[in-house]
Amino acid sequence: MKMYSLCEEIKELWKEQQLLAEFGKGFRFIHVPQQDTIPFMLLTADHLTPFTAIIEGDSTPYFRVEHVYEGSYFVQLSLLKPIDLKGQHAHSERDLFSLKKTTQNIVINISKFSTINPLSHDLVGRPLPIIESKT
Amino acid sequence: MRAIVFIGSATTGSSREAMDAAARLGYTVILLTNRKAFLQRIPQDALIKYMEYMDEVSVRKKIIQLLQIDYDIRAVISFIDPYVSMAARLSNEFCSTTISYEALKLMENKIKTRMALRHNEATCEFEIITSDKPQSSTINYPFILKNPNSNGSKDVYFIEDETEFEIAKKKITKQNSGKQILIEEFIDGPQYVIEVIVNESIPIIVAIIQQEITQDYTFIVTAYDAVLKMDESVYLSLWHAVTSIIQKIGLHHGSCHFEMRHTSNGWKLIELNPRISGGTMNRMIEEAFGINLVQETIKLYVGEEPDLIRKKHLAVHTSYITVNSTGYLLAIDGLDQAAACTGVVDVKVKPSIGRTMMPPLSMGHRYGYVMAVGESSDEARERAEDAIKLIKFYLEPL
Repeated sequence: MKMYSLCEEIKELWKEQQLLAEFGKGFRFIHVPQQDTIPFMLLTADHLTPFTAIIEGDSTPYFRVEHVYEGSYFVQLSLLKPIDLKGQHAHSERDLFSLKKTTQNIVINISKFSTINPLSHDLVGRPLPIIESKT
Repeated sequence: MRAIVFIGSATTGSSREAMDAAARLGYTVILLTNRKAFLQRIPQDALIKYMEYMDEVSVRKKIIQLLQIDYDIRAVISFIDPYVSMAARLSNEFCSTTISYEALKLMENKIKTRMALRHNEATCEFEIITSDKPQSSTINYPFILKNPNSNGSKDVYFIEDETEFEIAKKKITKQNSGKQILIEEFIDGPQYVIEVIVNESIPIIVAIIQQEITQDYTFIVTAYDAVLKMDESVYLSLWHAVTSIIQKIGLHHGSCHFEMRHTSNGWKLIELNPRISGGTMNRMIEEAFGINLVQETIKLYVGEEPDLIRKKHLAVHTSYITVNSTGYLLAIDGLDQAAACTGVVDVKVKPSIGRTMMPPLSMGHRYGYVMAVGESSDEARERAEDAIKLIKFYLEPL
């Protein structure tokens, strides 16, 4: 029952992500910034350890759904690179400032996980802050 | 219980340091303030009396209440505009002090100050206009347009043509419809703060601090440099300018600071204020000359002899930081590194995380500073400027 539920949740997230990508297209009177990603983390059964994947020598617990394989528990995810406000790899959730999309994909069996933790879509592609100092 | 009542204070800087100095001198410190910030950050050993209204009637009532509960109030003092002369008047009335409150009152109004000094050699060409009447100036461009009651460079504009004149007039008129506006000739040349104490009619120049000014549409002081040595003839002409102004203003007992520019035509008065300059001024003078000016001013006001003898001569430079962009402050970096630099004696940043920051329109938009000492002015400057470059503000654009 639990596996079934998580699979449905992933499908729902993917659907909403597709709607998000279409939202605002063709609007004439307002500008809606184009966003096409609902980032999320996957937690294992103990609810403590987020699933991570290796990217450019560092790890990331942030993903984007690329494809859900119908009739199975397999899901294709792309890796999102966590960035801190200095533009470096963010090593903890506390340091996370922005998420950068990558072309690195993995396929996972969703039945191995218990929870999806979605994050704000504003994090994806968030521009780095302006750095001000006396020159 | 010997006490000193302070009317208003900033949360940091000269006026805040005055409360510490009064406590060191053995007085109970009573602060009357309308700033709720003090309720969260109560200064050590100070009794805070929050007042919604700080008009003279309310303050007088509060002082009477304090006297009735047996506080032996020795002086009422303010280092904050616009309470300086009011505090002096109440001090003379309730504490039998002899502060020249009329002179302080005069200095609180820029138009009255200019009028009183109109025949003085240090005065510049000036003109008074009424904000809601169409009126052009007879003073040639560029000139300075001022709200006569402004401080901290708020509502002080550098005007280069008619368009700027009209825009600046409208800005000042917003808050002061029908009121007078001051136009002053633009004086070029290096600008100095001159801190002065007048003790029983004897003026003493306590310190001279050179200012570095960023001049755009407004004027922002971005650095201060303690002057250790000045050409004798230049100093003598400054002394004459300062004493002649003090005499004309009628300051016999009190403190004030001048802002003056040194030009080929001698010293010219830019501003005259009835108190020590705010911000880092007291700390700079203490680092440079070993004189805690606010402490000595308190002693002057309570009738003790101020100790204005220089105990040291150390170069001190304070560099301020402003920003070029507008945004929310996300993080600050480099404070510890700046504080650890050789010669750095003080580092402060003002904004808290989440606060909106913007390019400077007044001195209130300076967001931090580094103060450094050195064997020479050049060394102190280099140390402060190198250290302040380590401080970084991370801003999320609005």
